[in-house]
Amino acid sequence: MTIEPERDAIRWAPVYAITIAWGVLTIALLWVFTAAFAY
Amino acid sequence: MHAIDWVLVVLLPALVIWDGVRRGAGAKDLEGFLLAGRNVRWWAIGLSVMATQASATTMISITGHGYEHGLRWLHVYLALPFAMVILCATIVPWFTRARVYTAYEYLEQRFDGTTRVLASVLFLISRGLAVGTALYAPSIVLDVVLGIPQSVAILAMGGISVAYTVFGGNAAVIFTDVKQMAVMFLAIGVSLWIVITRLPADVGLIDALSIAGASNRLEAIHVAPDIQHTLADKYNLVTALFAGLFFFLGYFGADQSQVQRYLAGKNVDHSRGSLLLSAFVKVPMQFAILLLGALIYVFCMFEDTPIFFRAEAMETAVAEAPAETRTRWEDLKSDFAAAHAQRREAALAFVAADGSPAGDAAVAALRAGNAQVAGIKSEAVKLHQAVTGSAGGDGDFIYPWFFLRMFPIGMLGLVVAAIFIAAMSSLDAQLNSLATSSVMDLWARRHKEVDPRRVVTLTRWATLFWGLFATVSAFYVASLGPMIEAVNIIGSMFYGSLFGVFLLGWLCPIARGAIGWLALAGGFACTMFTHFVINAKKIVIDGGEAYPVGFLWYNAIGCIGVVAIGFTLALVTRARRAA
Repeated sequence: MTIEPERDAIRWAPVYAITIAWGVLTIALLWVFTAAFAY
Repeated sequence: MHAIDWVLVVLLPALVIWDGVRRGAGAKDLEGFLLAGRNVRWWAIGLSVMATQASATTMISITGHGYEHGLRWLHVYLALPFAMVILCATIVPWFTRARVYTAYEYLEQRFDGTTRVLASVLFLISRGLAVGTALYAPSIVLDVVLGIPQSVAILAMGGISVAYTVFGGNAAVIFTDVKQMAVMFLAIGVSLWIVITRLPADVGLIDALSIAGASNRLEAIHVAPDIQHTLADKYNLVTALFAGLFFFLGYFGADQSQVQRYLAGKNVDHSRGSLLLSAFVKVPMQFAILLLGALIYVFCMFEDTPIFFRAEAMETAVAEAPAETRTRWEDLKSDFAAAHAQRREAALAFVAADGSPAGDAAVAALRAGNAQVAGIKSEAVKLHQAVTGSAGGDGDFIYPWFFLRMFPIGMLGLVVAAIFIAAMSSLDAQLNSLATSSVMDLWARRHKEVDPRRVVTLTRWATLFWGLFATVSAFYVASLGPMIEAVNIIGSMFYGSLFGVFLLGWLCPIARGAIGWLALAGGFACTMFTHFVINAKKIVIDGGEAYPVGFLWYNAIGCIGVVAIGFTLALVTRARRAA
């Protein structure tokens, strides 16, 4: 079954948003980790 | 090693290979052999994608990198989740809908045959240059841990990998990789647990992290102060997010060794899911491996540590050297022992003083101790180079030194087996993709009427050829220095340009025909110019030498170069036609 590109993009948009949020959260957590052990 | 460890070293890889070959045995037709029948689930491909990237080098070299430089290498991976989203929204559906066997086949549909051939040749060169490292890393372990000569190890590992890849094709590659990742996760977890529990009784995990932090080993995020530092310093946030983005777009979007994994998905959703698995797991996994290296650094402060981690080889080389060299070596060893003991006291004082007013002085004393030890170590590395003639330090020998001495029975066998399997699982994907691209992009496109079974046979022969090439080139890898960086520098010289031509096809609908390969060649020339002309001389930054442009930027330069040249050529062509 072929899904139209427009519908396909809408279907995957929430997954992409979560992935981007995870990427941002990772950087934020690493920043906090770096600051916590910086001397 | 104990008999139980030997059983694990032999049994685990044998089990993994047997299962991989069993699953690939039914692949007789072209789609079955090259793409596992396009019928694999997302989690299996996802683990294979990770395993292809994570070779034995990941376990050995990155742990050593964590020991020597801390968490800074993590910057390389920060852009990965964002790159995966871009690829899932663009390239993955293009490839799956076009029903291609190779990434470069798509370029023939979009531009012309020459663009496809040029892209394939660039891939074959880049991957061919790096493929030997997958064999070299575990050969170190065999040499150090089991006493088997590196040459014998390289030949044995290469032979086994070639055999099951020739026999089982992509299905064997993917299902071998799945087990590899399971064993690898287990080995990382066990290693972390052992290093934490082996710390002195009065040094807890937080104390160890504090010592690592004060020793500049926990800087996971670094922001460069200006443009010169941003370009020259390889590991900083801006470079990671911008140049690193192009690196991963190129690696996962235009490197056949990765594309061939997710082309095996049951459908476009499974292919997407496989890439998104890496987006979520890769950074935490690399963090764990680098942290392991940083914690081994702290652990070594309290243990009797050799000045040079390949101590036996160094002793043998020095024994045959002139008397002056032997005296110098003995002096360095006694200086190191004294500095090491002094630093141990400084580390214990730091733990006792942490948070108190005396803390600043304790940090200064610890850092002075680190600098003194590093200075003596640097002299030892120079002496090693002078005596043996081999480049590089002993970074790749740190992790083997650690697990050989500290791991209990059973765990040692597990880690050694994990390194063997990691090596084979990375090599198999590279051989599989090199063979596929050689045959499909360079030969089969001109012989479309040929029986598919003949193409499968030819791909098997090509796998054998590339296996021999990898085995021979592995003997020369030692001269490259630290492997993990060498592999990524080679890749960065090609990935940006390769992805750039796909991006050009998307962004510029009027770019057609020969513009594809002209832009690709132009973008690659930009990268070569940066590497051989701009980076011909190192510059001094903060007292240390560095190349003016860090290697991750090659990806952005190549990609932007291709798109800019392609757009210019397309606009000029249209203007001339209009005139």
